[in-house]
Amino acid sequence: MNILGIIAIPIFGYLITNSIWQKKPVLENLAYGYLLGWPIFTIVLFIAHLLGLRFGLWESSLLLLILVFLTLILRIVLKIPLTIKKKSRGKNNFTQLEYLLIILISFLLATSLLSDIYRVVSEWDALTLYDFRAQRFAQFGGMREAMLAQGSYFNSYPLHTSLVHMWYYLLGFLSPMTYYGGIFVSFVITFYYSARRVSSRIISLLAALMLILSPHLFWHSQIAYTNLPYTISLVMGTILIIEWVKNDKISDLAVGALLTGVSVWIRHPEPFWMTNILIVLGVSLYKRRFHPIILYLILFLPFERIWKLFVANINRTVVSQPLADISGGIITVANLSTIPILLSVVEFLVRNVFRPFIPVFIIYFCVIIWKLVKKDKFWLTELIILLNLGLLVSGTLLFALTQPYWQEIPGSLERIAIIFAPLILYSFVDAAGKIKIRQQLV
Amino acid sequence: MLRKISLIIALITLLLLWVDIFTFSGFLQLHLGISTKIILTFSIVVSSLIYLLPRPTYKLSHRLLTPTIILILIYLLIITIEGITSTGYILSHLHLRPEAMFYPVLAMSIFALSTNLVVKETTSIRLTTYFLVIALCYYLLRQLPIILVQSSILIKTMVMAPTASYDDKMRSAWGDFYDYMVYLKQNLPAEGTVLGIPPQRSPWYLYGNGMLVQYFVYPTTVGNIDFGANPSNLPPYLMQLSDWPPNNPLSVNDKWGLIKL
Repeated sequence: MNILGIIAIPIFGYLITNSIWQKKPVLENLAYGYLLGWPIFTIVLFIAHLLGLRFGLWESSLLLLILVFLTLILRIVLKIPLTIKKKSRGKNNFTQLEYLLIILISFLLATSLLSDIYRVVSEWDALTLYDFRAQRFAQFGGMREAMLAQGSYFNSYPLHTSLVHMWYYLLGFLSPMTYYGGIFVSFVITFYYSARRVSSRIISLLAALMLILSPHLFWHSQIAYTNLPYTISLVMGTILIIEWVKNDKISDLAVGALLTGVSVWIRHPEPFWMTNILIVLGVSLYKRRFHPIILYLILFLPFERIWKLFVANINRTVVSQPLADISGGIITVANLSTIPILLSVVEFLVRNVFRPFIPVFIIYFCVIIWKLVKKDKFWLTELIILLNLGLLVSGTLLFALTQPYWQEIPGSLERIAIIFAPLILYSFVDAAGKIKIRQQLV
Repeated sequence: MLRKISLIIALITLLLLWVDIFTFSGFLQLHLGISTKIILTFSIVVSSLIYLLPRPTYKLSHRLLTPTIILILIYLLIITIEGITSTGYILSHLHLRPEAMFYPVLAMSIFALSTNLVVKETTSIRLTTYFLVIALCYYLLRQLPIILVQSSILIKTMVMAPTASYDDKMRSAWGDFYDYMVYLKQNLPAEGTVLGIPPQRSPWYLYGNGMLVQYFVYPTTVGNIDFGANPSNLPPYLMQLSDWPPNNPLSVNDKWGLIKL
């Protein structure tokens, strides 16, 4: 019975994604449903709690049921059928190499999921912050006790994964780890379908395998840190925005905005969401159409604002504004002699943070050379990667200028850098899709 | 003719790369004065030349694909076995060094691909595509063993103790520290109190981590006590380790205890 409480959330998400994309495959909509269903549920749970709802099993279940019914009513009002599109049963004609790739991908994903069924939350940060909050929420039905016990530490990250853990505990599960396996599987599926839209089946399968192999991702699907859910939301949001630039489908932009917003609801200190907003603003200005940026802001801002408003309210301070934060950061960097520190920051990043990503950056370098030679005109993915790299360097520089212990946290920076691998792989898929191979291998 | 000569040179370099694996690291450097990495680079350059030479390819290069795939699978298997057993397991049983296999397997993969990949483009694009393929081979062969070892260890853990309890799993993650936390939880008042723990500095980074200790002993709250700074007030309970608090009666052979003040 308890498992129904877990399955209900991706189904709720599926009802949303299927309403937005009726022509997409069921599996892809289900995977996006998982990526969207959980954060929408947790943010609504959080808002409902602020309005007086207790964090209890019956209260949370009722809220989930209301969400499902509201989605169904919306579908009826908008006359969206509930039927599942049957796939025409044609011959798939997989090659031997494709079978090999499918077996490898399935084996690795199954291992990840099985291991998550077995594992418990046991990592340092996961215990001290995310899981501690979850246990107190489930125990007392509110946030007060966790806030009293943790003080300002409570405010350091938003509540998404804590509320996910809490939901598992309320349902009677001993461990919430399957959430992380599920989100990883959903990531691989959504990434595969995005790759498939720009490339052949074999290249897309190869890209899906490479995604599983990319540094830290597989490991993070086994631990209860926020970096994996954050990376997945941000990367898929970014890819959907790239797809929107290519195909001009407003539905892609809408889900891209939601997922970018979700990433901030999972981890708010990282600034990478700025790149996406900049891209949407730039494209809107270029095309002289302002409804995309307005829609983007409407969908993105509630996720971005809610945690900051909450923290400002309990601290009795003014809500921080992104533009003020950016200008403040620029002033800090510009006011001091930053060149010597900049060099040591770059050296620190190369030596301590980027080392595991060397194979990925070699691919990035090759893709850039390939596109230059090919005289490719679409450079958006590469530009986004470059902007995010710039944000990482400038963010570390700012941190180095203000915090004397900045060199003591290479592990945290390395975890932040995991967003680059999937983006570079998408850039590779986009380039590889354009290679004309006359003779198939094997 | 030139293509045939290049193929033979490439094959010799590929064979040379295997010498280090069955001997010791630096064998080639010692006897031929050439390092493995230089041979690897040379074999990649030769492979590139073959790739750029006019077609058609020879039957030999087509036939190399299957052995290359088998070789990759063997390499992955060996690395996985080494990962789930112990370092040196393969060397002691099969007399080869698995970590050194990376270079010949990489060179062989690049060679097999270069002699079979036909891209319908101009020479410059073909060459860049070829280097993209090299990057791809490097990525896959670098990352695949890491993930396979990780997943094999996960499977091994599940198979070795399929019915492990929550305590068993936490103990395997945290060792003695977890047992001590269970001891504290059992011996502190259930309604909660205040527990003094060492300051979070060497050698008490773990036991002095207030947030971590609090996770296990909640509803008890935790505070760091620095005896070096002569604290005026002491909490009702103190953590008792073999080296903290100073002058405590616990013998160094005992692991832990709990002091009630």
